[in-house]
Amino acid sequence: MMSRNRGGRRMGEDSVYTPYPATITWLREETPEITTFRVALEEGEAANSFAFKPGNFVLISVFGHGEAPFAIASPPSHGGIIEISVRRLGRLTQALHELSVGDRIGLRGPYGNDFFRHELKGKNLVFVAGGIGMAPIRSLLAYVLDDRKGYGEVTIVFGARTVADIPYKEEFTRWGKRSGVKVVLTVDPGGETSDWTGRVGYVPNILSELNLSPHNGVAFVCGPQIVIRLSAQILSGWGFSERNIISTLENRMKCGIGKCGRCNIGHIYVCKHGPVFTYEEIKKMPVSDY
Amino acid sequence: MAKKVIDDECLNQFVSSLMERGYTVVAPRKEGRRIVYGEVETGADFLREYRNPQNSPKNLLFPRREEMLSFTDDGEVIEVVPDEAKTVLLGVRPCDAMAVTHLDTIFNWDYGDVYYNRRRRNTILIGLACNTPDPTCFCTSLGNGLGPHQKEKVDMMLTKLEEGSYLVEAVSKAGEELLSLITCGVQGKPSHDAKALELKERAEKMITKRLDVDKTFKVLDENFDSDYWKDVARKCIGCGICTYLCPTCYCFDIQDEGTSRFRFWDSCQFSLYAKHATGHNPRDQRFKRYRNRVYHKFVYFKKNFDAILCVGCGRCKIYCPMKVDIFKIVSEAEVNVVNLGRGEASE
Repeated sequence: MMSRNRGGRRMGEDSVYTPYPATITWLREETPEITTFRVALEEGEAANSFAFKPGNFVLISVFGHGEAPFAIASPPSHGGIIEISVRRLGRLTQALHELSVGDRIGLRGPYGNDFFRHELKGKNLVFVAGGIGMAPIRSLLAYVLDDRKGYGEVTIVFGARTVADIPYKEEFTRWGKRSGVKVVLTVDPGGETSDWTGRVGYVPNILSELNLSPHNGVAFVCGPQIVIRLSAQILSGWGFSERNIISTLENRMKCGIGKCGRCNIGHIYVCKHGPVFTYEEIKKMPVSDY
Repeated sequence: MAKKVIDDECLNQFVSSLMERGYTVVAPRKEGRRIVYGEVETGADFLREYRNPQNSPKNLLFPRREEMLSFTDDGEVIEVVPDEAKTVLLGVRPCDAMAVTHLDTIFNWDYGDVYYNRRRRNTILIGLACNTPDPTCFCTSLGNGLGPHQKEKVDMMLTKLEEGSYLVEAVSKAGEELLSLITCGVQGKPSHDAKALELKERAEKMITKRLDVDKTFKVLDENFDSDYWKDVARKCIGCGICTYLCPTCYCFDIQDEGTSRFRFWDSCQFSLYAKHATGHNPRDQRFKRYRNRVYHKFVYFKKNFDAILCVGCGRCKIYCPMKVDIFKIVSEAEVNVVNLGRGEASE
């Protein structure tokens, strides 16, 4: 009843579920739990036509272990380099963490919408992230900083549980040196070390001290649900409109293309309608579904 | 469109000629004590009087478990896709035919699903009008012209006019081609149409369960947080049989086993279904999962695709070990959300 096609995607009728073969070309252990992988599609049509925007996600396969969605963490402005930052958490991410440079994986996508819900050119941008929530933000942030003159003031507030849990350490330092960029790093109380020079406190608390102007501003908030909710309330209290507070939601997914069912929040499918939503949209969603 | 009137023997001959032309014929048949859609060996296996089969056309178009890919040790991916075997699905009730339309929608929502579409485009649907709906049926309330004699969603329609006499009508071009295979029988006459119409009206009258789906949509949409949902879900044991036998439930899981990737049916009634890798579970309580199923059918699918994802076949109630009755639950929602309170946010 079945036919087999070696090599994949050679049927004259692409199966959207068939991953493109890809190779890990570089990796960096960011923290004990998070590793960033650079993934190159193998030569061919897929590699030539793959185009993404900050906010999109991909499904990564480790053959024999499964498939899971990850936000693309690199900007499209770096020659199409695809990076994902993976927190070791379940079966697939564990398997991914055991791989090395040169190992083959599968990749399909990009899927979902992107951060450009409104025109961002010329805007003052605020980025708020907690933990692995920094991954999709990094894509947009690096993209913006590659066109520094195209945007206004940039403020970054990032928090991790402990100093050891901060990913992209060198990048934060580099970003902080750019003109018009302010980086505020914080760790949860108890997560600081003796030589820690950043802040201590939860992300929403640290954010609340900054008293940012909503003028011409758009804010991006990614991280645990509680960070999104509290940060959005603070931003909105300063006068940021709910349309201009933008976040990503990350429900469990299998297919990534609106068919397998599980990522729904009410009638919204995170994979198809999102994963990027404005706070105005998020507020209308049933809280108990995400 | 062309019409014929045939007897049982002619119908059997028609089934044989389909097989001679290489079609696999799947029809309601007896399997032990159960009636199921299954491959028939002769026309005589095809049951012409039956309650809806336990399974649905979903099983044929979207199997419970299917291999999607396999891979080699060095990471080469091998696609596994269904071949182009031609199938006739014979004796499909209008409710089940409508369910196929809904599956067509979801499996082609922006991205075409090759596995489903290959089977679908090689499947011809021959409907069988429903002359004696069950007391559990409520198809006529669910919109898009759905009713016990609806023809629009099949390629060819059979209507049993009386014992040993069937009106056969081509609906689509594929149906017309199949009709030309029938060399026995007589041409359909206006008197046959009149009889079919009479049976249609009689069948529609037999369906006494009525539901105002627009009102239901509104009541549900406005009362997501009502305690009513806790109340109605109390007797649900979360077994998921409703979703497995539902002709429109399509949720699936994808898992690797050994050197292959499979997809298999999943159910929103299962506690792990939506659970995040972090351990956070948005629908961590049974009532939230039951509510999700009801809302998907009567609210969410309507918002996204302007159709109700229920065809009123009654399987979910008939086979539920606890007899949870979705019709009763949605039709009484309006009264009960008021009685039980419109609810505070129930996290």
